[in-house]
Amino acid sequence: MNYSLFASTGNMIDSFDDEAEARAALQRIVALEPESADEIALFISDDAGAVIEGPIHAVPAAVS
Amino acid sequence: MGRGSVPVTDTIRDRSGSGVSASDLDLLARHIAEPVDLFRIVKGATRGAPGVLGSLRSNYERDATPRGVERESVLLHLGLSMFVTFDAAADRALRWPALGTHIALVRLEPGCGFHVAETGALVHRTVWGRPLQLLACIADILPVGAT
Repeated sequence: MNYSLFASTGNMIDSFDDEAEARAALQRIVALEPESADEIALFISDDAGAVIEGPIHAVPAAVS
Repeated sequence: MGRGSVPVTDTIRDRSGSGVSASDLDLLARHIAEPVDLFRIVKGATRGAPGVLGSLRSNYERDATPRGVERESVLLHLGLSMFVTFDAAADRALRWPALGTHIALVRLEPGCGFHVAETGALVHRTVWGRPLQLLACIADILPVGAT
């Protein structure tokens, strides 16, 4: 399995073999740049590279 | 090695098949010494469409803040994502239309200083090249739903 973060520019910005790490990285990016929530997405692909889930966007943390 | 093939065996990969991760920043950028066909998601239907040239610019060229592994690897920030098959590119674009409406067949020719590395999923490549030279290498552009 592969977990890759892509920007809406079409370019990969990170890639992981662990889903939790990938989701945490996505959340960190959006925490730093809440306006980027729609611009960054996680794609999950199988070992052959076929997408099985995505795009997955992070939800910016609520501001209290 | 025939057209369109990039050897897998000599590249740096971890055991999962993921060529890049936050803890694995080494990659092998291969010089394009013979023609290689790759597929790039683009925002435009013709080579002359402004969005197509823009689609051949790296995040660095777009003045995008480095994110993720781009912070630790300038190579990734300077690179372009491409795919080894039309379907691999189109599947992602169909799922996320913001990526682009069309898929360009990019025939990377020797003599332009292009480099390519296996990064991310098995079907993904990172390519380094100058946008106008990459534009000249576009052999065809098809809508994402063309298969």
